[in-house]
Amino acid sequence: MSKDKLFGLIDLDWRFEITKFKPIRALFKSRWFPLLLIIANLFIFVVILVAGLMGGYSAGNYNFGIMLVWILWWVMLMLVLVPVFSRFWCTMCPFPVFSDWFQRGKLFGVRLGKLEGLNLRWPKKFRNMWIMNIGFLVTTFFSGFFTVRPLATFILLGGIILLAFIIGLVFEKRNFCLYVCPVSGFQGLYSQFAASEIRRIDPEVCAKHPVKTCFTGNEDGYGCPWMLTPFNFEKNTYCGMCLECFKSCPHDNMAFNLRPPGVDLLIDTKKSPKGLDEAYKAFIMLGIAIMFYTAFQGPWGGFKDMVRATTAKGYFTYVAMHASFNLLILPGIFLFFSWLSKLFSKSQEVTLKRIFINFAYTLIPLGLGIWIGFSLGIIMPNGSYLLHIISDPFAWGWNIFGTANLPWTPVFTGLMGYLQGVTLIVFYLFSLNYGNRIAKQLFPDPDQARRAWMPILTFLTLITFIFLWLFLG
Amino acid sequence: MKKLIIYTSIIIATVFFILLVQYGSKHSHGVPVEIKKAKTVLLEIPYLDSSVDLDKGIDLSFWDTRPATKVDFFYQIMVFPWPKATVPYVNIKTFHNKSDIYFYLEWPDDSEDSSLAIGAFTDSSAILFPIGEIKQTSSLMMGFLGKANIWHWKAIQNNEYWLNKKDETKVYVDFYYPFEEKELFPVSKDEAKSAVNDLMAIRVGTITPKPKQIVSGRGIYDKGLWKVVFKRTLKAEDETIDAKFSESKMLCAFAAWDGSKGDRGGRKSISDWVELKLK
Repeated sequence: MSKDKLFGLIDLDWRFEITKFKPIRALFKSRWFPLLLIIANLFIFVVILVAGLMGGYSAGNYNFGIMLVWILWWVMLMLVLVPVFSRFWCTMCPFPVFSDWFQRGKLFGVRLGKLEGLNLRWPKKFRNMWIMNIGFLVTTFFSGFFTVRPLATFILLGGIILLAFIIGLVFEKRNFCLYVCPVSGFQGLYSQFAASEIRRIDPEVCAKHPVKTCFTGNEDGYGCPWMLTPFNFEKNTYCGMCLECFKSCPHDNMAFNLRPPGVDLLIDTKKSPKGLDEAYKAFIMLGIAIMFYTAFQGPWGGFKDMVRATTAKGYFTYVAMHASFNLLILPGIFLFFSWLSKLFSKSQEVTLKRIFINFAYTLIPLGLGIWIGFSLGIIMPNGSYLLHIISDPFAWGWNIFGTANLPWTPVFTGLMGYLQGVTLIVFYLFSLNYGNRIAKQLFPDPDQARRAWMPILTFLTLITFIFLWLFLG
Repeated sequence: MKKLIIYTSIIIATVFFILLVQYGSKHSHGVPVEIKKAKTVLLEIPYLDSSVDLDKGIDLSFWDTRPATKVDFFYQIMVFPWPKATVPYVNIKTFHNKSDIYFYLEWPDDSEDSSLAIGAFTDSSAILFPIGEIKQTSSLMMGFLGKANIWHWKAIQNNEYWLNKKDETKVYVDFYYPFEEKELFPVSKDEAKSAVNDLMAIRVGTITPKPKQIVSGRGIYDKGLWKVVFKRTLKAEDETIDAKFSESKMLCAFAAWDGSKGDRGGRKSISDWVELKLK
């Protein structure tokens, strides 16, 4: 055990292996898992798509597609799945199921040898988060439509499934998930903070296993579809938790661990360096959270009208504002604080770019906390609509579970601002804790690290105060 | 061959998706409904040396001798898909005697709904007369764009005023567009001083009782039909807020609410413009 403890309480090297329990390991090794989850999820998404396509004359809050995707799914992602279970959504995601099927020629068993499709390699210059960054940002240009127009949600989800299929036909394995899927990008970023991980258990076992079936595959499981090397990967960002490595490892040397949240934020190695693409993802997620909160939960009706394209001029002004805020203004402000950091540190060795990139990772816990707060602001007032739509998914007057006529019932909305505020402060403290550590990694001299940390601490505190003001008004 | 299969698959998937989106854009609001604009109805208001004393009733034996003009209803357009009217049509009879003007409205309704409660709504009918410049080509949402005088007869008020059947309900719920069906608001109920409310509006959402109520009316429910008579002096007291009748053509529109089918507030069946001509 290391003596480095998070908040002086939890050893950063602490792990609790859930797969040490035989039934769980057996489940992870079964080819039925997560296939059955994916099939069940696929059914739900078919209903979502049909509701988006033709169940849409009801208002957004009475549409199955809109409510399931933007109220339940999004909130579950931000509240539970990502912070606790890392990329467990990817485990059950139905989006790439058709391309997987095409490539493998089978849904259940393992196809040995070359997969179907053109199997092209993904271009090297795009092996990063930039496509996902821009794709996700562009998607949010239309956020004012997704939540009120069922067809817009259909086009978005259907478009993602189509793109996943096409990319799966042309490029090898899960390149769509790795480098294109807009949902994948922010999950990858925030999964670095997650309280769980998949890792190898004993490096010696892997070292003595020359074949590396977790990468190449065998008759029990495919080689990592995400093209990672499960025997030595270091952080969650690009692990889609497909569980193939559990199946293909003959030595049961893979583990699903609980861990202290955020330990990946300290990873900065040659194999897994901190990158500008991930830094920008952190800015974009923070910027979108600010824009979304002001548009959808703030009191500024004029801005909401712009987002919903009440006028073309207003809408394009919003798009320009939103894009420039996320890509230029917010990173620009952070660059200024990074420059101050370099100035205060008086260090010649550490470049401004490295300071900018590495400290941007301090925005991951804070950003996730902000999104959790935003999600509370979605589910607490609107969650009761879910009971309505599960009984009448296509707005055809059904009442399957007898809940179709339940009235809208906000839950504990009087406490909402306080819950959001407490959440924000907790995640702010995580940001400070990891920020301090990142400063010490960047600047081996403790005095330099302390001085360099001060401007970033100020920036994080400013952002926290802005959101406390927004949440508590 | 392999490439051909792959490219064909991509093209098929893409075309299928585009076709779905195209279908969705046409059907996402429900099955498309074609609304045919009905031919404008001309309603002549003849002179008759006669009168109807509403204190004694609506004098069905007199109205039975008068010819009727049928006006089709369509449903108040609120959300897609536009549903069919809950009240399909109204038969109208009318005359004036140089002193008063009368409108007789008769429409089918399966049930008499003349009380209010939580989730129960009254039957009613109304006539709208635009005042001044007419800015809309259709009667869509009565009084939507311009000034209007509206005569609104309500079954519950009819019971209270003429039959002295006091409804014990002091509060009822109403529906206000564009809120959802389940989001209803309690409304306090006034004591009826007439069976007809003489209302004015200058645009949508501005409907309000006129300072002086000059329209009277009375109705009966008879064998699945509502039969209602509206009566007012032919000459307008205040031409800025009262319907003005003259020998030149003017417009009006009719509406009816079926309480048992959930009609209330903006939910109603309405006619398109009807041309009136005083003879």
